[in-house]
Order: sequence, then C-alpha cells, then structure tokens
Amino acid sequence: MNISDPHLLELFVSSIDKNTSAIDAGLLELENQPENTDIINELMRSAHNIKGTSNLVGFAVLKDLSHSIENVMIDISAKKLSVSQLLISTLLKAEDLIKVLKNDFITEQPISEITGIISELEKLRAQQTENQSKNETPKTFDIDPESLSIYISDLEESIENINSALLQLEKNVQDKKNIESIMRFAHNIKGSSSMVGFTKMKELTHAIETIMSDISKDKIKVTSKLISTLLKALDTIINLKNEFKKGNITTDTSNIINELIAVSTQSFGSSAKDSSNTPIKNKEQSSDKKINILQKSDVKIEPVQQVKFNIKSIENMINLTRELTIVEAQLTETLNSMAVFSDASFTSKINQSVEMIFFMGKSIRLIQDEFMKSKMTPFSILLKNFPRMVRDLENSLNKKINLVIETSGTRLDQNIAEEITNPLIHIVRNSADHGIECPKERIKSNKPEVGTIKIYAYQKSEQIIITIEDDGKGIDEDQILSSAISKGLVSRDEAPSLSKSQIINYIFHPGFSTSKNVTEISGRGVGMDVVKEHIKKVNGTIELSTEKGKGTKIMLRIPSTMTIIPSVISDINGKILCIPAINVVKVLYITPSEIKEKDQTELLIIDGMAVPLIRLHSDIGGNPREYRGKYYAVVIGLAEKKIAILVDKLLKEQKIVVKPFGEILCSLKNLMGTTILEDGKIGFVLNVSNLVSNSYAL
Amino acid sequence: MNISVSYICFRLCEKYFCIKLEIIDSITPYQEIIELPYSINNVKGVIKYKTSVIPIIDLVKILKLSINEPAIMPSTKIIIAKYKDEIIGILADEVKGILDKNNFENNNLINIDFKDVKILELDKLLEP
Repeated sequence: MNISDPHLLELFVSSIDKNTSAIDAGLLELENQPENTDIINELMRSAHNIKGTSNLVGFAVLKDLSHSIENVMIDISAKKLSVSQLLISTLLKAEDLIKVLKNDFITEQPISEITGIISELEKLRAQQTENQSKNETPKTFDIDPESLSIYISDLEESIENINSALLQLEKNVQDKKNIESIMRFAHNIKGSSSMVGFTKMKELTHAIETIMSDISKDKIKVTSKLISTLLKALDTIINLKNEFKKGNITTDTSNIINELIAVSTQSFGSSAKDSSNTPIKNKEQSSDKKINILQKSDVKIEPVQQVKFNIKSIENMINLTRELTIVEAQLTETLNSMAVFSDASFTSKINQSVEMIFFMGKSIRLIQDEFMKSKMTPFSILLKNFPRMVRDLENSLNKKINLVIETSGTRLDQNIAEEITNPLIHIVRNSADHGIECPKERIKSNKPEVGTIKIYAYQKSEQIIITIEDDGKGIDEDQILSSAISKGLVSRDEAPSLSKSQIINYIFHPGFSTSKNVTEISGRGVGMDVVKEHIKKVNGTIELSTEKGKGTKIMLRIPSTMTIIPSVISDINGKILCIPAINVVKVLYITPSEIKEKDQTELLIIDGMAVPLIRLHSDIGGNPREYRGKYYAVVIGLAEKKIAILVDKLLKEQKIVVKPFGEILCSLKNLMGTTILEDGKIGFVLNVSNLVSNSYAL
Repeated sequence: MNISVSYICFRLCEKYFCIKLEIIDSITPYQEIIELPYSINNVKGVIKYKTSVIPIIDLVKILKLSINEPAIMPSTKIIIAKYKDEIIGILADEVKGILDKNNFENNNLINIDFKDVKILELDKLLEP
C-alpha cells in the first residue's frame, strides 16, 4: 500500500503507536478495575483515534478492526457487556493484531487476516447482550440517576393521564380529545422508554398508540372490552414501571400485546357479534358531565416548573422561620420596654425600629407559608386512582356507580395524606359494597338506577373536611343494635336507652360487622375500626350519619399539617394550655348542676351522649378553684370519641408550633410538648389522643 | 477530681457543687420558672431559653438538700447545661466561679473559701 505523503505516514505511525500502547495499558488496568469508567472512556477514545487515522490513510482493514474494538468498549461503557477475562484477552489479541497490521502497512506486505478476531469480538458482544436483554435492568441503561428519576416521574404522570382519559373515553366515546390525549401520552412513554432502552415498555405503548390511532381514524370502534383490555395494558405498564424502579423486569408483555391486537381486530368495523363488543352508548351522559369537568380542573397536575426538595429540609426551614418569629416577638418586647425609659427622640427611633421589625416579621410569616405550601400535596392526587377503583367495583359488583369528586384545591402534608388514603379507599369500598344497591333494587325503591358516591373536600385554615356521601340503603340501626347485643357490647336492658348516634358508633368497635355475608370487596367488617385508627393517628375526627333507605354520610376532619397547629389557647390555674383546634368540637358554658356523676367519673350529656368530663386542675398544681356560677367546658373529639375538659378562661385562637418534649419531660403523657406563644409566654400543648384514650380506659 | 478538667462551681442550700465546664452552655439570671401542668419528679418547671422551652432540674429535691424551697436572691442564677440531646437548667443560689488547675495543689483545693465541693454528674443524677 502506498502513501505518497511521508508526513502523513509518520503521523499515522506515531498515532497508532501512541494509541496501541494506551490500549495496552488501559486493558490491563481495566482487568483490575472493570467498573472504572475513566479507563473505559480512554480505551474507547484510543480505538476511535485508530479508526480515524486508518480512515485518513485509507487503511480499511485496520479501520474495521478498530471499529470492532470501539463497539466492544461502547457496550462495556453502556454496561451491556461485563468485563471478563476472556474479553480482555480477546481485546489484547485484537490490539496485537493492530500492531501487526501497522507493520504490514508500512512495510507494504500483504495485510494479515482480521475476520477471525472480528468475529470473535462480535460473538462476545452478542452473547452478553443476549444475556442482558433476557434480564433487562436499569443498570444496563446508560443514563444518570437524575434522568432516570425524570423518566419515572414523566412516566407516572403519563400513566395517570392515560388512566383518567381512558375512563372518560368509556363514558363518552365521541370525545376525540380523550383519544388524542391517550395517543399523545402513549407516544410520550414510547419515546422516553426507547431513549432509556426500555424495550418492553416501548413495544407495549407502541401497541396502545396504534390502537388509539386506529380509533381516531374510526377504523376501530370503542367497546367496553377494548377499554378493559387497554386498562389491563395500563396495569401492565404500571407493573413494568415498578419493576423498572426496582431494577428487575420480569413481567411478560407479549400476552397483553397479543390481547391488544386481538381485541382491536375484533372491534374492527361493525362486524362484531359478541355482545360485549357492542359499541358503548354514551351511558349516563348527563350525570357524567359533572365528573368530567371536575376531573379536568382538578386531577391534572399544573405544568409549573418543579424542583424536587427534601421534606426534611423544608421542615427545618419552617422551624427556623418559626424561631425567627419568636426572636421577632422578643425583640419587639425588649424595644418596647426600652421606650419607657428613654427620652422622646430616642423613643421615636425605637418606635421606628419596632415598625421595621413588624414588617420583617410579616415577611418571615410569608416565607413560612410558602414553605408550608410547598411541603403539601394536592388532595386530588390521593384520589387519582379512585375513578378506576370505582369502575372495577362496578364491574365486580354488577352495580352502577357514579363517582363525584370535588376537592377545590385542598392541600395537605404528605405524611397525613399517606395516613388517610387507606381509610378513604375503605370508606368508598364500603359505600359501593354495602351502601349502593344493585340497579334492580334501586329502581324498585324509586331511586335512579345509577348510584352516586360523592367525595367532597374543603379546607378551613389548617383543617380539611372530607365528606363521603352515598345515596345507598344506609345503615340499619336495628341490625347494628342486635349485632352489638349478640356480641355482648351492650346489654339487652341498656339497649332502649341508647341514642341513635350511640348505636351508630358501635360500627367503630373492633371486629364489628353488620354485613351478613363477608365479601371480597370490604372484608369482614374490621373496616371502620381500621379507619378509626388511621384517623386517630393524625388527630382527626370522624362522624357518621345515616338514614335508612337514603344513604350514609361520613365526615372526616383532619389537620392538613402537623407542623403548625391552630390551637385554642385556654387558661387553667394560670397555666396556658393549648388545645389543637381540630379536636375542639364545641365550647359549652355550663352550670355545676349539668355535671352528672356515674361510677365516680363526672359526665356531661352532650347531644344525648354521655361524655367524660376531665378536670386538669389537680394535675396542674395549685388549688382547684371553687366554682361559683358557670364553667367553660371544652368538648374535644378524637376519631369517634369525645371528652370534655374544664378550663378557667378561653384566651384566643392561635397557630402554634409544638416543640415535643425531650427525654426528661416525656413522661408527661397528657401533653405533647411546649410552645412559645406570640406574646412570648410558654404554653403547654395537650396530647389529645393520650388524654382521650386515658379517659376511656378508666 | 480530675485536675485537667475545668469545673464551674456553685452554691445551693449552703452546699457547694461543681459541674464540668464543657457541658455548660451558659449562665443566665434568674427568670420565673413555670410549673408544669402535671407534676413530674425531679423537674421544677420550664423556662424560655433562646427560642426553646427547657426543663429546670430540681436539685434540691433530687439531692434532698432542704425541705423548703431556697429563696430567690439577686445572686440566684440558672446554669444552662447540655444533657444528652437536650438542654436543661439548674438553679443555683450563687455561682462561685471556675475551678481549674490553678485551684489545685497536690490534689487539694486551694485559694478558695470553702473546702467541701461535690462534683455533680448529670448522667448519674438524672438516670431514673
């Protein structure tokens, strides 16, 4: 082979020499540190250089060989190939061959054969990639963890959107918007999955996209079977996603893809005979419009640019801002006390400072609010799976249920949201299973065929009030009562004296069930007990009202945050006691004659219920004050239970941040900690859950 | 007494005590101690310190120094100390000063107007 330009030849030789010795050293290092990406990159670069130089001088054979080596390095760097001894020795062999080829080239001898080594390299690559593709794991994807987490969160968002669009499509087949949106989100998933090399996901979403595009072109009709299959495919996507997160993908997608193809060909045109394939009429269109509108405004996540933030660090910042406000109060106090002793000119300066501090305090509070908000999740996210759940319930129970969700921008802390999701699922399942009657029964009792479950949530300062209402058959009091008697919760003699609400409250009793037959949907009546426990954990209250034949309504009051607690500040023997406002049911102004006594405990009768009356005075120290005239009794609720405590004075309502007790004071079981009020005084915060359970344990 | 360590020395009910200097956060003038709503052994009450509320340990009761509460004098101070992860306060009738190696000669205290000093170790004192 001839190269006319001696400079070029020189360049070629020195470049090959430099790069082969680099490969030599690199390979040996790689054997010891197979994970070292720097070495891999260096090797890749060297092989690439050789390829480039060979190309420059028109040395195709060497170019091919170095190209092969480069490919191997790319695979290693993409973690598709693991570094083995065999691999290293093959590469070394290839590298030796480069040197031979170089010598052949400059000495113008016949070029040595390279096909052997190239096929060896290719074989190695093929084997490994085959192994890897059988067990696809995120480790094989050459993506940094950050992009992966973006991929996953995008994926989750798309899944959610497809889910709600599918459910809406079922209710309103004409709506092209839903078809388009499913197509778009499926396409999104397809694109991003192929980018991260997640083939199974790509294939499945591709199948979905194809079906949707056929639907939009009116090639396929939407049938309930088609929707069900699509939902099933969506479940598979969710499975894949979860497995992807765990790094171990085992779900088989070929079945569902075949099913999708089968159902789409069945639905093709109007040739369908199967009754389940008959196109869905716009069922209950009028009543469904509402849910569509509500969901559109509510469930969608606002497209605001977001950064991920550690909740712990937000909490720290909230605590710091809180400390700033305390410093602010103290500073103001100090300045004001200085003003008393100063002359006029100085006083005006002090007043100016006080004013400036006031504005600073205002900003601090705004910062605090912003932090609080950023820590919270929209309540609607909690309910995102509810339409799907209700749809599944409809099918398995053979009932018709319309779910209405209205959450009006309610937000709450993540940990509280997690705590109440299960209770909500339980309540809705209960309503669907035990509340809503089957269509025939409903028509018989002059009700619309389709039952309704409504979930309303609204926010009142740091409280969220959630009502779950159904128009089902209600809860039968007599049945509860007889069940309570048979379980020995109440004696036959006592029974007639029980009020309606007392009877209803038995359903919160552990192991209580009114359902005659245990069902798969809502279990064996441990339900409301579990619901109660969850609500108790977040210091919430629960109220249930029911009317036979009309329906059941459950009202939950839960705090939206545990960080800032709006509290009723009261005075007992000169001590300040803060009672979380969420637990304050009402305040009564009572006369001593209203206090009843039974088994040495004092009771108050509130709404027909006997409520234990607690005097904290003896615990607080000092002499229990002799009451002339009237008292304040604060009625406190936790889950379904109530107690009342006597206080001397009610001072105000204020938002407080609780500092939990340390080791020394933690034996104060009826208190959860201290707080510094806005006026700088120390307040003690009542531990409602301990106080209530202690009072009932007596 | 470990001579290489410095101690803060205080008087309470006519007796002298000292605490390792390294666990002392600060010494503050007396402020009103707020009793707890529920009685709890060995704690007199709480005070506000910086931006938090801290318990005041009732040494008089723990060490059975006196049946009566010591009177609050202008010299009365609250010693703020670290205990485990918490900050606590200790009431002192008077803080005498720091004892370090200058106060010792052949393991004997010198240059002070009292001889009988008891070392307090909070860990042992507050263990239930």
